[in-house]
Amino acid sequence: MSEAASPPPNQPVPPAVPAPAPVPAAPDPFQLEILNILGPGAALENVGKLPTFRVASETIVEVCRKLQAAGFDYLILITAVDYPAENRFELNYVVTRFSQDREFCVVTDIKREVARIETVSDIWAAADWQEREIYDMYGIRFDRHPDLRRILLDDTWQGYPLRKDYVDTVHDVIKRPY
Amino acid sequence: MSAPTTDTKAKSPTYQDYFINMGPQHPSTHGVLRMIVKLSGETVLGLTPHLGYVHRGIEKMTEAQTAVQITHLTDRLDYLSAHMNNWAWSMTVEQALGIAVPERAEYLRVIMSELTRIASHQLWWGVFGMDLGAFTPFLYGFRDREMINDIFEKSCGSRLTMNYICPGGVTQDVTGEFEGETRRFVEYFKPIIEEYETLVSGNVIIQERTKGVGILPADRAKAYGCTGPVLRASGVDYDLRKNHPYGVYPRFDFRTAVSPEGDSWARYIVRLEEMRQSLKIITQALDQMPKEGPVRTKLPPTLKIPKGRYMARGETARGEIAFFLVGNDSPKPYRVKIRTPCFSNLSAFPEIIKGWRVADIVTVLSTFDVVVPDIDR
Repeated sequence: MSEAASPPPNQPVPPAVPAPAPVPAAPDPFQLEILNILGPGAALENVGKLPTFRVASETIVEVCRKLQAAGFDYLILITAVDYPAENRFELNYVVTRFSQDREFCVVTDIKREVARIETVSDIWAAADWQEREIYDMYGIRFDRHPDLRRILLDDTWQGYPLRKDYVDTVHDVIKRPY
Repeated sequence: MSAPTTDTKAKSPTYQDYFINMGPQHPSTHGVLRMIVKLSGETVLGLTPHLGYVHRGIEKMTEAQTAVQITHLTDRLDYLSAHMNNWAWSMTVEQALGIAVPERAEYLRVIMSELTRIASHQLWWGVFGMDLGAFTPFLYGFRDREMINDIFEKSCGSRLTMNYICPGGVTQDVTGEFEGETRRFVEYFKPIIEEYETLVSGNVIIQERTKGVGILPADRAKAYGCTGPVLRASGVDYDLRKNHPYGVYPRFDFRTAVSPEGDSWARYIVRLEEMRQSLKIITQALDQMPKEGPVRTKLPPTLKIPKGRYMARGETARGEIAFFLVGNDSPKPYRVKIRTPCFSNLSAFPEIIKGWRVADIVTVLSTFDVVVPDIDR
């Protein structure tokens, strides 16, 4: 981005809309509100631009119940991220209210070889299919889930494709160098 | 207008409930969606959607591509909202890298997205008529959609998978004819919506088939994470363009189309109203848009996504699309999760269809307006 007063014709002028401000390190009022709801077990993590609260995996149902009681009625998505080097899956629950214009993420870690956590589908119905998709792609089992089956892949599919160590034995995939 | 049937008792000692397979190749499913329907006579006792017939593993593919390359994959999700999908992904990348977008590009994004919304609803309106056995609306819808496609073709050379909105702005400036053509389309289409109303809305059969059918209560819609017209037809005043504003949407005067009934009819009129509001937005955007200026910020040669989590949300013609991005200080994302509107909207469908008849599956699913590649990714 050029800061010159009169840029040459091919160069774009400095844009009028400013870049979004980075998330500050100290919790803002919204984040403090979430921290109060979540209780002492939660830790705020400001890496990236989505406010993230880390909780213990055993407390996830309790935490989600608290959030739902506090009016967080909109579960945008649940997803897992695989970190094989650290031997963990990270589960991300992105939550907001229909009356709110900010969202945040609740994060919990589970061990890779255990790959098991309690379902939150009885708290938000939206979690039902989202958890099925995580089971499909990562092989994480959700205890007490009403209908834990593969959702996108075939029932006979071998392996869990979104794991980082997944090797596709069905298709002859060429690893591209980039 | 008929109430759902609750009579599910056996008709004779040998009678059994039975299952039929709707799809994957069924004209009413608008793609390859398979539903296993449990029936008692013609009454639906339960419905299980089977997804994944067009699963392409886009989330896995994103892990091997750079941020700019992924833009090409996003318009393969909901191909009728290609511009909005591109925009939502671009916002995610811009948020991660702190890229600002030139003013003119912001307006072009809004105009293109609203044109896409109209085109998508036109197609939906035509197909909805066809699902109910009327072929004429289909021809009307496609006739008018063609004009929008021509505008797109001239601006980006593509009619379906646009790949026009990209990180940093839009790929290229529009031609000099763009503004005139768009204004002409707006003037042309304003009375056409009323024509749509007289052609379909007043029809007794359409009203009998949709009014009071497939009611989705507001609390269930919220619980399932339904968004877009499906949610707004349940009386929830929620539109990301208003409630979570992005781009230059706060500068426009428009209202969210809401209808409290939650039935198929409400979903129908909400979409018609949305087309009118989109026309309002396009006119204002054309008036306010800077007449010249850059349309793309110069980006660094490699877009390294910094460590951390990022998310951007956008309102497509079907609801909310959200890109959840995990960066790892590398040009390729560590993980991209795509939350698509149709996936969440469809998850509410099995619950509300219980008790209705087989023919109502077709109409209610049609008013849900699912696009199967958007569900399957």
